[in-house]
Amino acid sequence: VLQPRHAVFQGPFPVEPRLEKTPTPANFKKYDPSLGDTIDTFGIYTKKSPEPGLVTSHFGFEEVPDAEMILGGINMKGPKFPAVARHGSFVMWGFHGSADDLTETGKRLFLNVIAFTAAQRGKRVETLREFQSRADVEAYFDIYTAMYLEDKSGAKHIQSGMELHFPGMKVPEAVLASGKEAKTWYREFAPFLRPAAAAGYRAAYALEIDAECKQLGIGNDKLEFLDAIAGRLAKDASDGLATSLLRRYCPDAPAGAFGPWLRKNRGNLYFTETGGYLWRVRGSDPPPRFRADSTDADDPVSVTADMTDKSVVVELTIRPGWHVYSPQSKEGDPVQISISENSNFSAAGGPLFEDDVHGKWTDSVRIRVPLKRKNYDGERLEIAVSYTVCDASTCRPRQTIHLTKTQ
Amino acid sequence: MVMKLLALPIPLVLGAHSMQAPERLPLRVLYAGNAGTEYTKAAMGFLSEHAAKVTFVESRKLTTRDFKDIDVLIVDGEVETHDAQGQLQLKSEKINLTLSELQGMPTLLMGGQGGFLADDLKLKLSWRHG
Repeated sequence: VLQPRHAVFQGPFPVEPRLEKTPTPANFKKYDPSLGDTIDTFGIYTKKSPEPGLVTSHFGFEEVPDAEMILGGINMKGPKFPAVARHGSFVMWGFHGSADDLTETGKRLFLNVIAFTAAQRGKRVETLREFQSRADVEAYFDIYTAMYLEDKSGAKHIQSGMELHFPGMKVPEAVLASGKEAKTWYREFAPFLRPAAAAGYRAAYALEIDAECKQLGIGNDKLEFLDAIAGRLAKDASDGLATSLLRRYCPDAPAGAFGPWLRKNRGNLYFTETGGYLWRVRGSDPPPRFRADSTDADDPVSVTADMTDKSVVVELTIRPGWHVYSPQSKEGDPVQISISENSNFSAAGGPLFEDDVHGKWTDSVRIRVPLKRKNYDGERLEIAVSYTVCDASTCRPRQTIHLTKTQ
Repeated sequence: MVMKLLALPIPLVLGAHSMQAPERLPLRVLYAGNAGTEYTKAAMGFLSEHAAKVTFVESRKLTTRDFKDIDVLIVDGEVETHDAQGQLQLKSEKINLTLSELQGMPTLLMGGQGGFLADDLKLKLSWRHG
């Protein structure tokens, strides 16, 4: 149990786990050799499910208050991998089995987890899990390297892991033969890591040394790092190193007024590694996945997009007093969406509009375009959204916004 | 074999209670899962007994319009098998909703559908990081 006094144990229904001694799984001891021969457990289901359950890695999990680990479970990974956890308004119940097979304790715990989930309405996901955290890499050296070294072809596995984590980096021979050497080597440059460019699934693992961060000499996850940038910019507003680091690690901050921004937000800043090695202000949604080619603060319409692997969803937010037209309208030029040939995806059908009876949209509207993948060369998607926005008396010239997703 | 939770050797909640009378949550639940399976039948039966209202929607047909007048969404569903590359496959199509459509919606992620959705949305609950 990661949080034995968590709300899911407090109610609304009483949970009375009957603790049993269970042999400690061998894989748990690899993560934590100090564990004894047995651990205390209680049953959730009366039968083992033929399907796998869900656990997620605890490394880099609780960077910010939008996530919490609640319960662990017997699993094939490690003793601290949570099976019940929360991220924003999402709660994971990782145990898998038929509801008919829940124990009495399992039933109450499950109902409490449902009640806890319902209470999360409105909580926002602030950071995503897109990149390896430094804690993930430390675990690679602490746990996986040791496991590989037990094997004859261990060095080969380690070499391949190094290439995944640090593509193109020269790795000393000694590092491939000893977990201790590897960690000492890694810790020299760990404070200066940032995500590296890589294709496909490798993008989630690839890290590289940021030469500019190393030049500054302060780890990018320290508040002193931001203080040093602010200090340099105060002395010279055109300081190249500070400007470059600010744009990379603190994209939400205004370059021309970083000092005041830092003073204002200092208490609410956090550094997220899984979310991209970025400094962010608490309470903000994840950075948008699509970048617009232009934003006009005077435009009564703002356009954003998000996607799954089967569709892109375009959302138009319309200022009060204004409206745009749907394809059903007989009065105005409707919203149109097209996908660029430069994309790795193409449309798998026409846009799905949710028309009202008048064909006029106010407030906000979502338009879904079904997608199919053209190739696996990347994740690029470029869309053009054209609209004419009008108020009661006049219409503005037709506008086209280009949105691009590259990751 | 019993699926078990790790637990610290301290009392969690005390008191002798049993579920003789169904304990009911005053919640309206939307259950998104596989249509016509024994697993779903058991889940719906359990939820009907313990929630104020339960409605079912097939996972692949779930839209934001289904969120009207519900308190919690449960995303569940079984995996079929491993494919030739050793990857898990779902019994039915994946849920086709984005993070911006689900932000703030109380959502319980269970089973293969829950795992795949967490992966697609790049949540910290992601299966691929497990």
